[in-house]
Amino acid sequence: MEVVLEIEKEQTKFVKRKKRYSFILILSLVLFLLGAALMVVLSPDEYFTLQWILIILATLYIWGLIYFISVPYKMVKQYDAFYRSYSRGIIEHEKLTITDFDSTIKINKSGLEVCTLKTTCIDKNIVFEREVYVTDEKFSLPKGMIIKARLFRNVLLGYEVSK
Amino acid sequence: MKLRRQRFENALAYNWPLFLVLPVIAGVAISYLFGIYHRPLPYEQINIFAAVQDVDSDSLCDNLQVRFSSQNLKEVTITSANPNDAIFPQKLSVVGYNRADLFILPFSVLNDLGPNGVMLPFSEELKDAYINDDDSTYYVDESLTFGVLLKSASNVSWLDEYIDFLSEDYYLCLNVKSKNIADFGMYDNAEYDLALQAFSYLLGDGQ
Repeated sequence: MEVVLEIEKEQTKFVKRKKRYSFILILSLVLFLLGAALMVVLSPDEYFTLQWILIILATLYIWGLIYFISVPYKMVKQYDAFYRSYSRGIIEHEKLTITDFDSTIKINKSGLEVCTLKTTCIDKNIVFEREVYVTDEKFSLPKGMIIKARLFRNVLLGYEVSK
Repeated sequence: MKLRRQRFENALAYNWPLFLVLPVIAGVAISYLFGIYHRPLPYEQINIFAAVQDVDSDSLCDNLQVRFSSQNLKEVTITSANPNDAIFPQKLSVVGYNRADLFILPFSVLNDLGPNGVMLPFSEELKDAYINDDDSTYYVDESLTFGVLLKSASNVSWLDEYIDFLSEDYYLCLNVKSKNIADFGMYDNAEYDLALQAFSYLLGDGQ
């Protein structure tokens, strides 16, 4: 069985990232509050300009926090939730024929960044088209190859080439 | 993370009010903190309660501000109330007694309220230090002096430019609870006497 996505390894990686983002968030917040407090304490009696400078800095800080910390932190949480749900979720095994691979990265419903593997599967002698998500953008298998895929929430975890 | 921009756009689409509300909250909090930190201390401000018809408080405040700016005066406020208004007694007791350092009161009001316990009785030391005119007329109640004549009904005063007095004799009194009257009142802070200096200035000719 070829492994495409190693859940345990990835989970450890994302737990570490989550901790790192939490640390950066707290550290930046403490530094910002300390700086703001210093500006207030050291401000002269005519503080009007300084007050507006601090308000603009606070606005930039909040927007920066959302862009650089909050957005990635939310992504890390989504990945973490996906990996945690793996232990109690249903693993699907399906025989699929590869038809195409779209390496364009998009965000799926679980919040994962994935590429799309276009396949067909046969059920009760009817051929269905099925799109499977792959987390590795360099994933490559020849068209027409039949695989026994191991899937979780439509994400390819591993496969075995079928004859 | 390769799609940070797309994720940010998604977050912006759903949470755009947050992007506006959070900076506004931060701005209000910062403004509040600056205001609190730079709020004048009790001995850096003078509050005057005037029982008159009307007062041009901005001009009089500016006048006092300019006069005492070198002595660290940061704020002057004047509260005025017409003694003929029904709400006057409440305004005097709530705003005047609790906040004012100086009172500008007509004789009738002084007579009605009974100044003992509210106004500062003038000691000889206070009179010598802050009342320059030896011929001043005082308001005396139960052998204690509580006020000095600021303007008689028949005379003109430099304060007429700012204050629309009733046709009565007006007395200048000090609040016993003021923190700006050196150690003459309830507080022992000899170095803070801005209210007494303003008292002396108002009694003068405005120079």
